[in-house]
Amino acid sequence: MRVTVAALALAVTLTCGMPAPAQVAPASPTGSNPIAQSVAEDQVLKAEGRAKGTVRIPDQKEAILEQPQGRRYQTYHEHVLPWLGGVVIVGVLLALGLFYWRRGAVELEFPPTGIKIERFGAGERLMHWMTATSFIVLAITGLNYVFGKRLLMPLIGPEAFAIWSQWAKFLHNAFAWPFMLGLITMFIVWVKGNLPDRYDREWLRRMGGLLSHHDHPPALRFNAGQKLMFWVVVLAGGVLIASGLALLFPFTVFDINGMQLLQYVHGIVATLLVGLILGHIYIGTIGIQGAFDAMKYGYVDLAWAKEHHSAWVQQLQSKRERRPGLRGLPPE
Amino acid sequence: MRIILAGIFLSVLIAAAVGYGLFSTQKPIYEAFARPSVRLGREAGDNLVGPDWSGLYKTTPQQARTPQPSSIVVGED
Repeated sequence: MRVTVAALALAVTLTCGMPAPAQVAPASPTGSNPIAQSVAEDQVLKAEGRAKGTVRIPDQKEAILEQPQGRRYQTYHEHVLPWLGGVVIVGVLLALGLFYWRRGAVELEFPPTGIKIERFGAGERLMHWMTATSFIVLAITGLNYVFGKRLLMPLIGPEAFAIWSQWAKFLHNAFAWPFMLGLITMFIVWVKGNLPDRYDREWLRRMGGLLSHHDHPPALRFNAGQKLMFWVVVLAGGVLIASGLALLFPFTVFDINGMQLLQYVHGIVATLLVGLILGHIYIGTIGIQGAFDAMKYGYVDLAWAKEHHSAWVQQLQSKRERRPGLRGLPPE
Repeated sequence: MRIILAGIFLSVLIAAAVGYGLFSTQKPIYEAFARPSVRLGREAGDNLVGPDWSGLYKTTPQQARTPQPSSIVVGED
């Protein structure tokens, strides 16, 4: 019995003491020590942020062997940006739908007078619609980069999606130019009217009268909400132009880390701007009765102008008194 | 309505004009860095294994009999 127990104990001891086969490091046929090399690799990555060698082909970017930031970029592109885009776009659409359901369109309190006054000139409207067209193309083709693989490819198949995505990339690069021209022109033309004035604080305090059916805070040609919109579009558009130009000419200024950083900035700012423009489209179409006429025909009814921009109407009337015969000005 | 259509037309016109200029000066990377010693044909799909390569790695019976290395050592000279 004691012999049996001793034999069992010896067997257990030997079994537990022996390393498992999987734990044995395979002998390298060259005698190199991969573990020691991986430590050196870590040191290189910590020191330089990437492992880079030398190549004798023209494309020197191929010399970068490891670039750990690429994994962070992949996480951003595959997870962060789609989630952010989904939350922003679906969230804005839901909020607008809820607002329209609860509040409805902001309708004219008084009936139209039939007297039309000029709100936007032909040049301003041309500039607006050129920029709007460009932005819609840029938004659709840009969102394809974020959601196309998930939403469109299952519907049209990988071959058609590949062809569409190639064209979407060309369209995105091409329509960036009229967008840039339109944004710069809009800034020059409208910057004066979008500087802060004495009506803005009151307009913001009363939320522009959007929450009430009879509240019409005074405003000049652009109210505080439109001014906020203007400055956010100008600033965000400026960031998109700067980052987009660097992305249009890849690796001319920035290396791969810089290119990925630009993608972060460009993608996040563009996604937020798409959400903002959805709100702008809502207000300019179904949100406020008569607002679309201003950008479609260039003229608005005097009753509309008095309700939404009463200080502007007063300004125009006083201008008319000083210079009778001016075009597009309302009668007293 | 005419102004809206004019804005759309102007946008397309500028995009086409600048896009044409941009695409004529920029080349895809497989063209920009192509070398005659590497490129076998004019198409991007042409390569050393031929245009019919499926992209899948296939072993010949002789390769299958030869033991493959269990790991790749990075940085080995």
